[in-house]
Amino acid sequence: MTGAWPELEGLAPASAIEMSGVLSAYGAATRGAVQNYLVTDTPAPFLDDLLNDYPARGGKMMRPSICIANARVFGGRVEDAIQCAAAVELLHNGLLIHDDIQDASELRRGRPTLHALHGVPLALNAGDAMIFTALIPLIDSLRSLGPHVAARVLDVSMVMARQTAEGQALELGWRDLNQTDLGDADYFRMVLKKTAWMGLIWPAQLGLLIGSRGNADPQSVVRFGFFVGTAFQIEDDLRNLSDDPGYGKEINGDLYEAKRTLMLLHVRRACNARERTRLDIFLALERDQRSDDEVLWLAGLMKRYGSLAHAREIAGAMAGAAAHEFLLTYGRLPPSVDRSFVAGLIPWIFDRS
Amino acid sequence: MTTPESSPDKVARVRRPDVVRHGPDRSGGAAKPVPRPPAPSVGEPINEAVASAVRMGYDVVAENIKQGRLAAARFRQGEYSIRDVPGDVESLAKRMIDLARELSTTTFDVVERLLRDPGPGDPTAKASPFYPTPDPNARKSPPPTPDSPLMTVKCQFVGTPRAVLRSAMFARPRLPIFADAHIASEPLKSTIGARAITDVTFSTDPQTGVLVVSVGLSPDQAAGVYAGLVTVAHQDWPMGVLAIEVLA
Repeated sequence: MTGAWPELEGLAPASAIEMSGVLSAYGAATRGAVQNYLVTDTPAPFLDDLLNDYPARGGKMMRPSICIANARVFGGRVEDAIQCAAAVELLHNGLLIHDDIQDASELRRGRPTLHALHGVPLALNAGDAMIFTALIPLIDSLRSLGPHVAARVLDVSMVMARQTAEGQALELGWRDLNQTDLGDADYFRMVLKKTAWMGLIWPAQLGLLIGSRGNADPQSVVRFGFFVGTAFQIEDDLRNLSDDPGYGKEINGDLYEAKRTLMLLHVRRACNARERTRLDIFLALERDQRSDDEVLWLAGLMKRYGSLAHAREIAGAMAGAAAHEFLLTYGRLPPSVDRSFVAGLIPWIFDRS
Repeated sequence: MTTPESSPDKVARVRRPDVVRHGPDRSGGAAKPVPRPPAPSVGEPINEAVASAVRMGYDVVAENIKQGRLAAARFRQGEYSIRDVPGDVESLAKRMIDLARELSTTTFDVVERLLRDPGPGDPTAKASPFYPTPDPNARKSPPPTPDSPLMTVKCQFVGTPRAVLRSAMFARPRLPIFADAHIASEPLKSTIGARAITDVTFSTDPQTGVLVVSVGLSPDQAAGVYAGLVTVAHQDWPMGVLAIEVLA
């Protein structure tokens, strides 16, 4: 895979099988820690079952694995990072519950979404509880990290919380106000905040701070995280429009939700005036008013104008920039399974199953 | 990736302005701002559109980092030191809870978890690593500039004669480093022409994470002030100047 990214030559990025092995090992360790925080002696009705639902459905465990791998790359141990990894996974699951409500999504990891099963009020409450639960392992970890590292961990966590909320607000605001005059830079800004910060940058920063005992600069992984996160998001958006949108996701779900993707921005720029009028009418509808026929028309329009190829090219370029940033940030650190895992995230974006 | 000939929107090819720079802006927004490149138009060759997208990505990150640094400078009035940490952790944790509340509507037992740690004024505080006993004579760390946060440094002397640290204002390296492998000091030169001190090593205190400078002295070292530039591998600018005084 390094042929596509010459920067990774000699840095031994993990293969898809090796990636799977690391994800499996660190994922299992994280699941165990997560369970410690979800299991209670006196289960609360209408809450604890809901809290356990999404974590029990599985998931790639990419975020906590990034945290643990970075901790080890920078000199730490798995046990040093496991509580922060649990915090990352719990927060991710809490935000997924909220995202599903806000996006009116129907499926998550192969099953109906939590609000589809239990209604919005109970799902919302469970999401709130999950987000607060995520703070508990984070706070617990501060005790063992010592004050110097603790202050910096809280610092990067606050930045992440703010960035993530801003990113979600951007995406929701664009859809609610039916904003159509968006450029690719707007998309990148939204992805940086909504996807990359919580999914890549923050876990890497936590690991870096834990492993280096607070000495490494958490800013140094921002660019790498942004480019990997952006390539990851574009690839996710592309998969959503394919016949295999990923485990438990709806085909063309993003079109039903009028999600502002690179493909949508591109096709709106590329199509003719008549098509643009039809597209704007489609975007102005509510989700349940968007018909299957219109969604298929839009999917076809994207194919016809090369919007998918355009997005695929940009995803590749973002991955190239990520490889460049990897070299700058991690290139001088000693070779290890964990460094290979971090490097392997780049090809894995496109190879993951 | 071109607009079809039949499209009524087909316009003459737009020529892009000359690029302002040829590499990513790594100043975190400190450098002179550059205009954002326009969004790629549909008529461009794909490689140009892609290159523009990557440039755009770097600009988005640089802009974001700049905003973050400004926000951090407003929020944090002084650089962290071990003595500042108790108050900082407390205020950071409270802000964390406030942020979580902004994202959410239900309170939980997190506050209780936080409150379980005694505050700095609590008589049991000595037992908590978060609240080491404050030193009333401690000097406050100087305020940092947003673009050159300073590091906390501890200096230890090995051998005789006695010596004291006079100045160690080190800027935090931009890239991750291992202190022992990547930080080095020039020989500490004397202001009166005495023999330079060459035994200067760097490490990290595993308990506190503070950078530790170790200076080895020989018994015949002349009294006086010695100083040397401290550099970090793969970085073009020095971290700072280490100055010590060997006492008579």
